[in-house]
Amino acid sequence: MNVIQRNTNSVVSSSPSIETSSPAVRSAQRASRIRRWLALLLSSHTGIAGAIIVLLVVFIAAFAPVLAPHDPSHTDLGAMLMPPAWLSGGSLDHVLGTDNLGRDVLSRILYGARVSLVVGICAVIVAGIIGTALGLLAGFYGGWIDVAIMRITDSLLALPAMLIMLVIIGVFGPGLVTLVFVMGCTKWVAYTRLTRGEVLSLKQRDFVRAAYAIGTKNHVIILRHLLPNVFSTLIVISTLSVGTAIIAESSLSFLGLGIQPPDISWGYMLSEGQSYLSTSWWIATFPGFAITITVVGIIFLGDWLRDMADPRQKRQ
Amino acid sequence: MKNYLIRYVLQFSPVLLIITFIVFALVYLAGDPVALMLPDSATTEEINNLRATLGLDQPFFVQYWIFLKHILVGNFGISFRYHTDALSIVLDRLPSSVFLGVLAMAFSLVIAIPLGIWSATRQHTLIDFFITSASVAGKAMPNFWVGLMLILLFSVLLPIFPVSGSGSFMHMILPALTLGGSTAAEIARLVRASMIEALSQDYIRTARSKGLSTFTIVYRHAFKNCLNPVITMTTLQLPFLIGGSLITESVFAYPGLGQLLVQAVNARDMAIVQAGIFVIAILVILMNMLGDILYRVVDKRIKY
Repeated sequence: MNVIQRNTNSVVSSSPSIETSSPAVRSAQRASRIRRWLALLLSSHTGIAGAIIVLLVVFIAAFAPVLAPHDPSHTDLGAMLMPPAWLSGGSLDHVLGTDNLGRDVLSRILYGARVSLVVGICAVIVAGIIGTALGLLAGFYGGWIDVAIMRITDSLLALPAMLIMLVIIGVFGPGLVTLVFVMGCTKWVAYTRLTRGEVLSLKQRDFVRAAYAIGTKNHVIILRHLLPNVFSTLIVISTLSVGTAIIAESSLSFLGLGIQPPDISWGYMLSEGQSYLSTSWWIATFPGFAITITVVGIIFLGDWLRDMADPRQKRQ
Repeated sequence: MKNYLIRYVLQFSPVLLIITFIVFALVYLAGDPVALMLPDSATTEEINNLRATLGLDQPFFVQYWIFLKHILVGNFGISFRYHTDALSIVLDRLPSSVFLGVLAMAFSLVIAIPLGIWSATRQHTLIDFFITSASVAGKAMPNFWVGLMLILLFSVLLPIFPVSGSGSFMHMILPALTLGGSTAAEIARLVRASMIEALSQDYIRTARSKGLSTFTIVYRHAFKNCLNPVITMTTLQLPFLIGGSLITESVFAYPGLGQLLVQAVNARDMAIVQAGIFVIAILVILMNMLGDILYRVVDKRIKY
């Protein structure tokens, strides 16, 4: 374990010199790096668990129409509020029971994975692009650009993200696109702070100073020398952010300000189940498990990626 | 100390200014509130008159300037739902939310600190595994779902606490637990990590070799050195706590600021939204400052 760790450490720290090697050497380096990462993944129990959960959720989202036993929007007033199969009154036809309109809870949960993943991933991409771009600018140029960008991030940090999202949705109306947009607009701050910090230290490194000295244009330095070296850190926080974005999506949908029917979201299912909590607990219980399991998988995977990116920070 | 406070205020004045701009721009984009204020039968002339009285026919930056001047005297406009001053409605609801937040924070500290220490002193045991898993789960569970599950367990199955509403201390326990849950998970993780770090230091070995009891070592020597990150985390969690209260208060129908704001957004009552955001921003900035001061009180090595 220790040997493997030291190896990755050297790979990570030598990454700035990638450009000096030939394409063949580079692809061999990449292959051996992937092998090492896989070996490390197999040595981390939580890492494997996280990877399996995330792959499973992606699989479910992709093949929901094949996997779901029923049409998730099909209402069956003859089968309203049926309990899960293992309780009396339940049937194997509806393993996790039905909701107040007789819709199959299991099928709806399987379809709900789609919205969660799409919103979670798109929001992180939007936030990542905005945040990284601003972080690169602030860190590289410094001066008033830095001051202006950092003051804006300070301001956004003084406001709870949930509140800003709520207000923007109040202004533009709910929906999937708005949801991705508001999360992108509020969650970029973390990327900016992180990228800026990394860029500030990278700027002092020899390879950047050398590039600068031979007259490389600013945008080339930013895109070809700085960005690739921030990337591994960005991947780590992006993974963890998908988890928080999924929770934010479900929270907003729960308040009725996120995904609108007929689209299916775990959060909206929970809000529908809230009124039936005392009589039909399963409607509001299972979608919550779906969210929790998905996010736990993402956290495990993200923690593992963080250990990969920086073995020195490995949690004890 | 005085210089420090002055510097802090100077640093955060532009932040507040930017926040006023964000708040104003959002509401400007929300469109004309006049349509919501007048009955459907209003004539074009009446609409135009009201627009002129409210200054809504002015250009963007003129309106922003007027907005700033009003804010300075605490005037956020009239809520069209309550027909009174928006700021006073927000301030009316503030105490119950603050009380809930403090209770939630107290719960989470009381739960998280002992568990974090326990977990750190028994590293790699079953107890450690359970506590660590619970803190990951606590971070992964959406707090409104935790709220629903607590209602299911302690109000429906075992009728101990009321389902929703307010009025007594019993009404606050489930919302506070819900709200404090994810904060507790975060703090427990942090306490564990910094305790493990602290327990591996030289001064702990010295303390052990002097023959001090484990209790004294853990609580008097190691724990004191974990306080700083815990204080930072506690203040950093505040925006999340307020964000969480928006949802928690809605789940439990708890009449605080969070519920007021969710209702105001739904009804597009922008005066209340503006006043609410502004009050929350000031609260967060003040709490950060308090955290910063506390940090220096605990750790004498940090100078102002």
